Amino acid sequence: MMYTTELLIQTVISGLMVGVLYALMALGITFIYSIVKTINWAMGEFYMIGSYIQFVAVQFLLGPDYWWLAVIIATAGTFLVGYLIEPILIKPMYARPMQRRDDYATVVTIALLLLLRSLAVALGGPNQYRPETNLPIVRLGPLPQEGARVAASFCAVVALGLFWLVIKKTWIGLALRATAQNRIAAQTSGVDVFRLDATAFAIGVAMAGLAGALLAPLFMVYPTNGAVTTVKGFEIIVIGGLGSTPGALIGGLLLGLVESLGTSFISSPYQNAYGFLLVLLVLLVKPNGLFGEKGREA
Amino acid sequence: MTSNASTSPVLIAEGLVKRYGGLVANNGVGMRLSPGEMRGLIGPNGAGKTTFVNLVTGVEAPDAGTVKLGDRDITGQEPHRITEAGLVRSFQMARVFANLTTTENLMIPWFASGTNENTVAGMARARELLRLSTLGSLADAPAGSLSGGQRMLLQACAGFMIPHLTVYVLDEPFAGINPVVKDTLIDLICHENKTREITFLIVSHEMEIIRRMCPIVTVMIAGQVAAEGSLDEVATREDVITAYLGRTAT
Repeated sequence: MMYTTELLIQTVISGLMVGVLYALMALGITFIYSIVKTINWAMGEFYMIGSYIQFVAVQFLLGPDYWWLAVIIATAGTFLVGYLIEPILIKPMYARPMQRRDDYATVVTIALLLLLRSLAVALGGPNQYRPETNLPIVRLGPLPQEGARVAASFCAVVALGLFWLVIKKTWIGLALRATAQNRIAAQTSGVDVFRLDATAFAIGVAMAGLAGALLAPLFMVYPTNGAVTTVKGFEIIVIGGLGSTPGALIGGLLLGLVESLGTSFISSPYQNAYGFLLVLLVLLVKPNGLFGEKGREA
Repeated sequence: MTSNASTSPVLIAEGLVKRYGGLVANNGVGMRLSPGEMRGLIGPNGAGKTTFVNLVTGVEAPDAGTVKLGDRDITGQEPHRITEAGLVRSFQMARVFANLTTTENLMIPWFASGTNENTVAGMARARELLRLSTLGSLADAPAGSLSGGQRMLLQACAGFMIPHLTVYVLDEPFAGINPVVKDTLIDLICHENKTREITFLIVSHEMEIIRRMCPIVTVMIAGQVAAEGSLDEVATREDVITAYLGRTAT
């Protein structure tokens, strides 16, 4: 193995490129948690929904030239599914005493995971699909990169920027930040926190749907394709700290980098193991995660 | 009562009951507030004052009884609906949004009210309230950097940001804050009471302030309304004295 600077730069670039997509996934999980106070275990299934919508839209409706339009449709579609599901499945959690809410949310989102997976099998069978892509190979740094990969990273960065704008500059962002800090105070200020829950849940799962749509040409479309990304999302949450936005972003980039460096310089079959080594290391040094707050109550 | 029966009450609470297991925290509590009134609510610790406030403002649902704001029945509605209807409360421990600036804190109820999303007007109103509460220089400071008293002021201002506010319930607004901030808060409340005819229900242990601000006080003892009248009137009643001080030896 050659340890050249070129290889190092190449490895860092592809690590960061995957990292932003990981960050997108993790941000979705952490964002939903910060508002709705629930961990959505069905996150990967929304990734799956996004990838299926992308496949159908590109293959049967729009063609590969309009992949970007398909991405927008896939994201909006997952948003809508989330927005409609939250009031039915998650909201009833608040009718239960505080100690039971976590149990309720866990059972309900795992049930949702199974339902959505089975639905995908029923509709599309256990087959693997792949939406066509005609994006050209791009030279990024010293070595060429797949066009779809570059496009995916670029779109993820744009989406993260948009998310930041909404949170920092709009009224709904202000209401979301307030609700994340203090639910009851937001409610007595007149904020309809239940509608905000649905919005936050929808934004969070739309991030997963976007990641699924963007990665569809690279990682394929099949009923359980969200599982690996979900696991990575949760690895990042542990690394960055639950409920922390910078934690999700930096954790995502870090995981991408570590995987990429490990694959290039140590051994490629262990790609998924490097992340867990990172998790162990972080837990050893900072048990609450890099940006985590104190442990959760109750 | 007397001839001004023409002014119908803005807030009517009737027969409110709340039980926590075997403990009856509120046992048939009722209250009527006239428009523009400043009512005091006093009583020894554990009398059920905060429970009553929670029931009226929707933080908890009553086991029995009704709450009406004007003609509208708001019993057991969700807090944001009650705020929407024009009834707002403050908390004993100031619930401000620590990571947001003081101005952002004030803009939340303004935007949430929905009826009036004019940002410019809202910012002007926020500036006015910050000036009245001597927080003007802290407009862009995170609320987390404020002192305890300043947080109480900010919390009170947040309620005043609601355009159609009619009844404001303040739960222990003067607890644990220094005398200067206390006076600022009193002036602010009186100012809003005069200029906008807002009705106040003030829960407090500060008898001097209650005497100054509230012509009529309601006394709660053991989950029930024990007396109503001017502070000096109710302070001479034997059951009230007993509840506060215990039975005398004579």
